[in-house]
Amino acid sequence: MVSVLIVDDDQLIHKVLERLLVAAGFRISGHAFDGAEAVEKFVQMNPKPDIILMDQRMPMMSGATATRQIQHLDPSSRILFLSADETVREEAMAAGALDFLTKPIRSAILFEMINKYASSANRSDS
Amino acid sequence: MNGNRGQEGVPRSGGVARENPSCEHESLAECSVAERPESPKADFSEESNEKVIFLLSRSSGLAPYSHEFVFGGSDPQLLSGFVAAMSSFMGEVTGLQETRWKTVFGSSSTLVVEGGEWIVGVLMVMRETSEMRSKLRSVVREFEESFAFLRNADGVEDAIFSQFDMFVMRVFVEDRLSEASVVLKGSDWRDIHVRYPSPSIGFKVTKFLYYLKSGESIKEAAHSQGLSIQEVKSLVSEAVWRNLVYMKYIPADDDILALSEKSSSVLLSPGNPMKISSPTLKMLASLNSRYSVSSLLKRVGSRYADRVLLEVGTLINQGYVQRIPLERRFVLLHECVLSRLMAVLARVVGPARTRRFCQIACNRGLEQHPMLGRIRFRRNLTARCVIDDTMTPADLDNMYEAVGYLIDRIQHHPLMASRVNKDIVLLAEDQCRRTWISHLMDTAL
Repeated sequence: MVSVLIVDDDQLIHKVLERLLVAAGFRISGHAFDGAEAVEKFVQMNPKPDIILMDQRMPMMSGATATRQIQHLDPSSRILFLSADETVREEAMAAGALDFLTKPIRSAILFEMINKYASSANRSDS
Repeated sequence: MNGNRGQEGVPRSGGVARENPSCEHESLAECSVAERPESPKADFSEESNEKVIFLLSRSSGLAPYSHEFVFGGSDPQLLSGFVAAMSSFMGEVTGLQETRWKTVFGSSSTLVVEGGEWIVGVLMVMRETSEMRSKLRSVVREFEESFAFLRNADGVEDAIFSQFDMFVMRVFVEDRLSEASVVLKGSDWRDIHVRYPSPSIGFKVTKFLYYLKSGESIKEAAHSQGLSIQEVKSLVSEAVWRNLVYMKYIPADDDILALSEKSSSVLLSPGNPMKISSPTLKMLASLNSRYSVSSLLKRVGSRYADRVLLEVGTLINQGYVQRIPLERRFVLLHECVLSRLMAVLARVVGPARTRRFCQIACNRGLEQHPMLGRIRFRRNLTARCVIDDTMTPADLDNMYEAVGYLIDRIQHHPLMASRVNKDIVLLAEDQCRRTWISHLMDTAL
């Protein structure tokens, strides 16, 4: 079962994403509500999540900064950006995100992307 | 930001709701089709339930963002003044800061209001639907997240909302397009001058519209112009957003439909005043927010499918019929898991004790989750959530939590704690997933 860490400062987004991802057969391995918490959670997590769903605009630390720090800690971490703001795409990709998904995104595409990047991680692990 | 700003040219009639005023045909389906050919007189604005959306700052009373779904319908700035004054007046009178309310003006104008932390979202529609309120809620949430720095700002340049405008467009238009959705194009689309996010998008939309035949479905347009479905959906959304074309939102097979609030008193009233065909009436009467369009079509007979879908599309446009919102789909999925778990528990402790256990759990949790009072246990040991038309997305969230509470209670039943039973629980969840996942695939987040 693919595990996902959700990083977003909006409680409602956490709720919706968790319900949807669980319904689709994914496992939620954790929640973080800002970039700093995401880094802290990631360090503590064992095993690491297969995929991190990252928002950009958050208090304390932005998604791009958190991505950079997580990538520095573990270059094999797989981070997907989820934002309505296309203007941060470049920054997110430069920070080490695997892909940038523009909101609103269709759930089918989100599931497809998570599976795609999680399975490529499994391939490279093996 | 106003998506329509910069439009000039053809004056259009306002968005006063009438039931197909120009239609002289015998049935609703014929009226719908009759409007299909390009005609200089074609006014498809009546096809849109949504008229205007605007977001209002609680502190300043100003509307930093607005969009008109219907050209020349209602002035968002004027309406925002009204809502700000109304909100402030009611706050003074009642001493309450309500976050969700609506005001109905006559039979065809409703202002749906959904409050966030510092932004109030207002949507003017012909008829309120939970689907529209759910969309409005997600727009308010996204705005507050994207523009937190505007919280105490007095005024800003429209340009900063261009990305957000695309988000709202996707939520209100693209998310609702199915392959069967029909594009209605008037001949005056060329005379309307609009601004696009970039010249290349403008070129693509114009080229697409040039070759588009009015009345073509998304699928037909994709086929005839050699484009992918997703490309056509994007182009159509851009065109709809600028009032160049209008849509008839034909539902997809997996959609689950419901009548909107108070619609049944119009649609199913004696004498059939809306001239709805018999197969469609049959389908409308069977809508219970649980069955997919494809399964309901089987009941009315596949030979009527096209006609029924076209009529239902018209009713969706007019706000009489709605797709159930995501929150409701979550409740149905959870209800399925609960029913399966009840069946598992019944195998362990027997049906009577299972029912009793659930009833006691409901009574104990009622204070924390009052929505437990809306869960019924049927003779065949399935759970049914009582959901009515007036429930908001927030109510449905509460209902979901209530069902989740019961699921948790069953999972922690002393006799369910063994390893074998845990596997059965996982199996039950997996079975519901298989049944419900197709209804969750087309959700916009």
